[in-house]
Amino acid sequence: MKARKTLSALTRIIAIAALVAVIGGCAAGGDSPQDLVRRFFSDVNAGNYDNITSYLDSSAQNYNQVNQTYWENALNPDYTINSLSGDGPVTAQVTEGTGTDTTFEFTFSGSEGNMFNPSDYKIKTISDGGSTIFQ
Amino acid sequence: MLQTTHTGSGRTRRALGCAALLGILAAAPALAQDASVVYLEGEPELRTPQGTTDWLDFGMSLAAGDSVVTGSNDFVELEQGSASTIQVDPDTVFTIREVEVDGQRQTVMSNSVGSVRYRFNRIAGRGEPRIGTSSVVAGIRGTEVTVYAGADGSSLFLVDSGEVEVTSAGQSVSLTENEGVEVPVGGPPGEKFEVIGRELNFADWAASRRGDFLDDPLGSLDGVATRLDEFSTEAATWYQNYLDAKEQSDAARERIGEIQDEQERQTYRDETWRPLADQTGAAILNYRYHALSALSLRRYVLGPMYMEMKTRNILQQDAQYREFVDRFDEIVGSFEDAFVQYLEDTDI
Repeated sequence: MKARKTLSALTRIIAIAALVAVIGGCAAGGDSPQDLVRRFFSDVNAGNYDNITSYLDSSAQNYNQVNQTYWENALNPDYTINSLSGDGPVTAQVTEGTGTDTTFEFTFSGSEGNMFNPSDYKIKTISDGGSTIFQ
Repeated sequence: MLQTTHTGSGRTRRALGCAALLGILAAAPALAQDASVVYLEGEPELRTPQGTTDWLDFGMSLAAGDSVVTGSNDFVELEQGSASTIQVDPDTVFTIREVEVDGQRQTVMSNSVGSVRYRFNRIAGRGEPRIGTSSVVAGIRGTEVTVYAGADGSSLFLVDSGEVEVTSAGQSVSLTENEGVEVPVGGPPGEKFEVIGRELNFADWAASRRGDFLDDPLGSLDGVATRLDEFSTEAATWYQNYLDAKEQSDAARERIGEIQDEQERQTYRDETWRPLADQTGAAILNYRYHALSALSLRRYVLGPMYMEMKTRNILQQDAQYREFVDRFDEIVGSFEDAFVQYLEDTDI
């Protein structure tokens, strides 16, 4: 009898643990840091500079100051992403339209979401080969 | 000093023996500035004063006269104990030298091409190192600074924190946090430029100064007008700097596409276009800073002043009130003439 109770309690614990794992592991929704980086380059290549603002951390020092003129000067599209690494910071090895290569590094604010709240990552800084182009 | 043969390439790999290292430190205190390799990527090389070329490896120490040579896929991080960190970017030649100044041996770290970032973790004293390119040197104090050496011999210094004094052709420019300067080969340093922080926010200013305003409404308007004039002058100056820098940056970007040789194209991109784009970007951020600060002043100070006066004089509009409104209209007109060109729809 005692063994059966112990088994029952153990089963409940396992079931709760499994439920927590499922909830925690569910697709959180919202963009991951690497998703944001892909969207960033996609919009830059398409000339959709207005969209970029929505990926940026509004508390960043230059958030209000950067505009289309700024991005057109600071970037060198068309970008081909050769590799992305890291979950934040994210390092992007890219080739530019001029055939030159460079490495971008993105840092982020925000956190990964869960079943109830989507991820809320925003780009906090961007550097191109050591030059900080957004902070 | 121990030397081992680098298998297959005929080059030599050098490592310092403990006994030899102790001997060097005892004999020459200035060599305490030796830098050790703490991180590397690719296959950077070490070039010694004797002309030998070795592979660079983790833990190796650079002595005076040594150079680190990085290729397009190489990166090296050096540390001088806890005093400083030096990051050598791709396609760079970085050299540590020693010079004698007033009988004191002084370390000079420079890059003849490419870019190097320095972070000095201490308040440097008498034996503080000097940094620079092949044509310009700079003194530093507790600083984070990036030094670019252009292919045409020009240099660009960008200071993240601390203080740097750049001297060339007998003239010096002192740089502090978020300031930069370009130095043409053989010439004096150019006009220093700055990357400044977030624009000023006057949202809380009006409430705190309400009493002062009511004591002297016209005087308060004049104070705002003076501040707007300052923002206007700065914005116009930086906008012109932007136009000048943009011309060079655009020309450099166009030039990248014209260069046929892959290596040369990459080098030109990293060493010429990128610094020019940074300088242009700094000018954009700066004129936007002044324009947005002015907008905040207009929105949170000037606007509420008008509303306050209008509310208080809604029944009786005397000569003082009309004088106030005329001056207000004048200032608003000047604001639009001065700043609208720098603002975006999304700012307003």
